[in-house]
Amino acid sequence: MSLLTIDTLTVTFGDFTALDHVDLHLDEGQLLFLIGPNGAGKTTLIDTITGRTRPTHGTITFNGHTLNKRSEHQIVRAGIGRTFQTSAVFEELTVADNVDLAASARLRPWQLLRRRRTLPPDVIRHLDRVGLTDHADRPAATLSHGQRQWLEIAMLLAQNPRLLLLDEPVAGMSADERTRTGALLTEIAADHTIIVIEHDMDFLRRYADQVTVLHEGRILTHGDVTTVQNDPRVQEVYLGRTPQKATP
Amino acid sequence: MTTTAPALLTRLRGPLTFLALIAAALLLLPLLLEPFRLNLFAQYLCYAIVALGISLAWGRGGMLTLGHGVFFGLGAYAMGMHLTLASTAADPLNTTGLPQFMVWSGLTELPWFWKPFTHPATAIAAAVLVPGAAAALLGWSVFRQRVRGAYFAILNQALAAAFVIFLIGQQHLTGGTNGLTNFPVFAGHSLYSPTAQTTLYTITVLTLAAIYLLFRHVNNSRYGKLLIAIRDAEDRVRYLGYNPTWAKTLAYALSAMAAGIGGALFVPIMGIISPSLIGVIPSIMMVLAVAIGGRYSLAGAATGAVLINAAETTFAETFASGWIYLQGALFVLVIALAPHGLAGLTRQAATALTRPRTRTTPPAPQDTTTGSPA
Amino acid sequence: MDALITQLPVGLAIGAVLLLAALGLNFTFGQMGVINMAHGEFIMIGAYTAYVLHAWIGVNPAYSLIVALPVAFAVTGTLGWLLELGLIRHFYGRPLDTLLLTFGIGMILQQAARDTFGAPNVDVPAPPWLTEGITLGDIRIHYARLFILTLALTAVAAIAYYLNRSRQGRQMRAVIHNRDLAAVTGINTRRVDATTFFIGSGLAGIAGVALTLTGPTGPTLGTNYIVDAFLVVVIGGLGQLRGTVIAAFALGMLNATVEAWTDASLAKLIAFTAIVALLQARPQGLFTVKTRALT
Repeated sequence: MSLLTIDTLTVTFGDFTALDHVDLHLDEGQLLFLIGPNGAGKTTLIDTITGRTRPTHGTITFNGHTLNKRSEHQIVRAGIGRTFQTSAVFEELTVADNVDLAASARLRPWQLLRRRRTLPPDVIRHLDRVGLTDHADRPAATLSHGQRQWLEIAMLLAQNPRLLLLDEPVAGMSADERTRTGALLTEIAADHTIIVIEHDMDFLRRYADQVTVLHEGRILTHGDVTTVQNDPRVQEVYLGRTPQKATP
Repeated sequence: MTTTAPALLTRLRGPLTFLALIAAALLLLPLLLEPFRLNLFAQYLCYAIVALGISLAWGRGGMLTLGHGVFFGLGAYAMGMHLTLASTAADPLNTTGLPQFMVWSGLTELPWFWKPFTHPATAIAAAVLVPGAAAALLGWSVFRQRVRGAYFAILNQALAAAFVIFLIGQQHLTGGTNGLTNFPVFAGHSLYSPTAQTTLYTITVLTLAAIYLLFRHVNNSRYGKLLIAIRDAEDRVRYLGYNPTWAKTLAYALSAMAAGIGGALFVPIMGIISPSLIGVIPSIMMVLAVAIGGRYSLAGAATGAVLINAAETTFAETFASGWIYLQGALFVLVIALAPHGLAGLTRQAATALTRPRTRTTPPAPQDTTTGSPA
Repeated sequence: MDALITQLPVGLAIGAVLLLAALGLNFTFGQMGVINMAHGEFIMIGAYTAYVLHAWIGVNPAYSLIVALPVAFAVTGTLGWLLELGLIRHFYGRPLDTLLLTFGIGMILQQAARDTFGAPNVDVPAPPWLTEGITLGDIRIHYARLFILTLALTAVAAIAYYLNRSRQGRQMRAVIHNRDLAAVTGINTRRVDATTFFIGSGLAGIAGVALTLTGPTGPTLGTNYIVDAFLVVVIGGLGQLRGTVIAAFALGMLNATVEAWTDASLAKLIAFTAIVALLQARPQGLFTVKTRALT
């Protein structure tokens, strides 16, 4: 069944149309890569799904519920989690506390008021999964850029969402870090539904299966990586220039 | 887990210092200080209770409350109204049963909202709950609309201004500029006897200690960490599935309740509550005290309140003008140079003393490839 | 309804005073996000400038008011420029800290005024040509009120012209929209900040001179207006000149009519409640500026 259905979604900012009648269907367990040149509307699409931006027209249905009027935290509670392009972790809190906070959102207020003496097993597991166990007690401010992205992924997993939205998870990472993130992504994709926004074509070729191309707020095409790569329209708007290596 | 003796000592150092301070305050100070000084010190402690609240809301939650005098005042007036009624009832010369200022204003009957304050229990409950409810209502209505930062601070200040103008203008109900004063009796006992003053002082010390422990627990809980997260990146917190509105409202209400309790204790100790003690300027002075002591530290904030109020008593009368210049300069210096206040400076000094050889350099840059997912 | 009409001149006059006080804030707070709590003291200094010209230097009352306006603008503008240069520029991006810092400065200025001019209020006589008034039906209009209203509206027009037509004004708006982008396109953002502060603070001086027409001048003069002036900027919206004008007169009328209807001490509480209620209906339009950055 369809987990996420986006129907004729339009978002305008004043005179500017960021998204123009976008239709998108995502089934449970799917891994979808969303690509497109800068300003294509990729982040706007994720922002609109997660309630950060309101649709001008059209509907977003997740798991049978319409999300249009819900606020950000309600959408997260409905089962959609996201990361941000520029990593946004809580620098003053420790790495473990960052994940613990993400895992505790479902607790009742009075449960939050109890003192936490030991880390919940789930939090330990997620830290281990992204390889940050050794850094658990350090402030998140001491992490490197790549580690922060992994911390965001651990926080996302701790929320236990049904749909994960990753906004350029490997931007600014070293080649080594990209490989590790890719392996992590493949592992998570085995039991999660994921949409990844990505610029990096190498990364895309290695890890993507299904790709949707956005251009000027419209869906240009959709299909598997090879088909999309060979689509002349895509080459024209996106790949037509120099074949893109890693973004700087 | 086995605990070595030094480790145990380190763990107990905090609680032991705390207990020693309480014991010294309860047993030593009443012997050392003459009653007048003890009474002054008790007043400072009331402000220290308010400071704990401001530290929670501002230091932890990032909500700069420039109107905490309002909540202090609500608590103080609740207690003051009861004391006024109790003293009126005990006054054999007063045949009307109405407080003097009401008689002078031509009132013949006690206003309806004064009536519940005949009972001390209602008054005490109101001193805590009314500020809490007022803050919860205001906080909820503005936080849910994502009004924050400077806007919130200004709304608070506007509330303080409006509240004081109301108190002054409704003289027949509130005592006007003079406020409420002249109440020698509480629950059948004279308030001016040394025993009563020592008892009030003891209650204040214990209340301060209790609220300190409560807020420390709050700060150490997940909720306390959530407040830090909201302070530093409120929008990000929403994407963890939290609604920041209730978290902020709760912290703001707790903070207001602390202020209300401080106010309620202040009135019988000081013997008066008037608009001049709770307006825009006194409110911002409460914030100054917290800034000086250290907004991020409960103990620092409380110490700051005691110090600044002690300085106020010492200097305000002798060098009124110089003291105001000094206060203004302190504002500038603390905010500009020591945002962590005295608490931060003490910690830096302690670190420098215990580890004299390590320079205070930032932690070594992390090796970017150490962590490996999968 | 009658109350509304008879209170109209009073409300407009209060609104005009608030507008003058808030216009300067609209520059520094609205345009730069800096809360200058010393703004009230700048207003007070503007008023004392008029007093000094009249009582110390002995300028003829017939035109001392007219002389005082540019002098006060220059005096408080310079003070604001110094404040920005010496202190505020180190704290951009930390509005709450700036708020507290400038409050400290305000305390010092207020005490300095007390030490210089004494705690009791002083009077600046209005020029003879403003002491009269005209009567229209039931409504009495004082020339002084009319003058303040004209002054406020002239100031609005001048600012609108400056922001929209002049090169410097356009640079200022560019810096507000995107500081980094403005900097790389060759705009000297430091100079723009300094100019913004000079003009914003200078407007406080003008407001102070106008206030001498409405009552006595004292060291706490600014404190009485600053909270309401901040509210005007808050209601009017960030950097919105039109919003500021509407909010100033709305708050002025609200104060005047509620005062006529119940009494002054309730007016402020009712105005406060109205503002919080207003926030329930239109928080977005009045407050938030859309950005992509997650803060």
